Amino acid sequence: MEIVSLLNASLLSILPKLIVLLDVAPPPEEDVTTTATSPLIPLGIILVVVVAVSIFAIVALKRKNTPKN
Amino acid sequence: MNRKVILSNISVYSLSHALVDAACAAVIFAIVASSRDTSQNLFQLVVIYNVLAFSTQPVFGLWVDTFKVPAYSAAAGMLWVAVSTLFLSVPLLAVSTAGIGNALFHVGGGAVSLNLVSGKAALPGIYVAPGALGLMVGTLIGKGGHFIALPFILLLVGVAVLVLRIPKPEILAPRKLPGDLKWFETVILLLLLSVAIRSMVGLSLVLPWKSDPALLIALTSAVVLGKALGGVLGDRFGWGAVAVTGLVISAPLLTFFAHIPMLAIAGIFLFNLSMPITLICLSEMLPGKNGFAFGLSALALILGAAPTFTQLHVLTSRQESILIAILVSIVALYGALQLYAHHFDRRSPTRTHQMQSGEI
Repeated sequence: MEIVSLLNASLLSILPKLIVLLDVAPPPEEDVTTTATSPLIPLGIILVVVVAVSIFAIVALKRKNTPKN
Repeated sequence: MNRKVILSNISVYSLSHALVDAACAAVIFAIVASSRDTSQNLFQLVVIYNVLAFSTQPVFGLWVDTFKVPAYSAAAGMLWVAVSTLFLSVPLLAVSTAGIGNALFHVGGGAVSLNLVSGKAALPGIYVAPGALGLMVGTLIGKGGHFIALPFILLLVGVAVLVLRIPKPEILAPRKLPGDLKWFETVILLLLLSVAIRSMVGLSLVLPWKSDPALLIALTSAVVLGKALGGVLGDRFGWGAVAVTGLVISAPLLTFFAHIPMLAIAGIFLFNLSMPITLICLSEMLPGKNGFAFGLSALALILGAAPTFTQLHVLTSRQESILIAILVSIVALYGALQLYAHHFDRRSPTRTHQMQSGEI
């Protein structure tokens, strides 16, 4: 019994080192902020694209309305 | 333009506006009410819907203006919204379809309403106004768990057919923008800034009493009447006088008396008077691009609403923030309308002539 508990104790002590070596550590706790915003990234891209298109269209309209000398 | 064409178009588009907004709100709140999903995911769905419904409108507006297809855009939008009611079990698909459909409809209807009587704020105001009523009804249906897709589908398809069958207004020939183009971007930017700030204020106001159904109906009526009458009064008494005065009086009412329902409701009515005036001024700045003008104001709405979707809402809902925001909005709108009047508005005599010859 003592041998078993001793073995357990030594295993427990080296387990963290093993995990680091083998890179099998459990994933860190989920980052709530990242998870919450990630599906919204495409929406941000849509917004940026639409704003760019709108600015381009406004500039084009101004050029169209500018009298040519 | 023929008075009968104007009346039939504004009636059909205004009613269908209420219907489309009711259907979209009902779809979203039915999903929220029936879902066991986390509140975070449901919040994301609402944001996805809003961004798609509002931010895509300038692009659809450019398409509508280029191909001159506002009625088809509105009808297609209604059909998309009808389809969205079938996807309640796939929330992301439902809100995306509803958002795109809503955008297509709004741009189409907006372009028609701006085109019916050139340079007048009354009709765009009457078109936009019923949306708030539709949102309220749809929200109550969705939240109450009373949503049934079939009546919405039948109504939306029926109105889409009606939109395609009523006499289409002739699309006015694009004109050159008169005036000093040096101020072109400034006027547009100030108008959009004013819209964005008003959107932020509207979503930041804390009105705890609106859980009372009677007061909610009164509040919604104030929004509807404010938008509908803002254009009519603006055409009668001057855009600047009505829009700026309305905002100035609404500032203390919404800032210091938001907890008193009657005063806050009066403030909301006055606050909304400026909406059709901003819209028509923007459309006058972009001749021949009514769909794009309508879409730009929708884009400004969502950009203004964006902070309220984040932790910044704590800041934006503070009393002093609301007061400052309304004051900035007043300055922006006043500046835009003054610059427009001094540098671009060359059509006053023509308007008088049109009114005498029987147009609205």
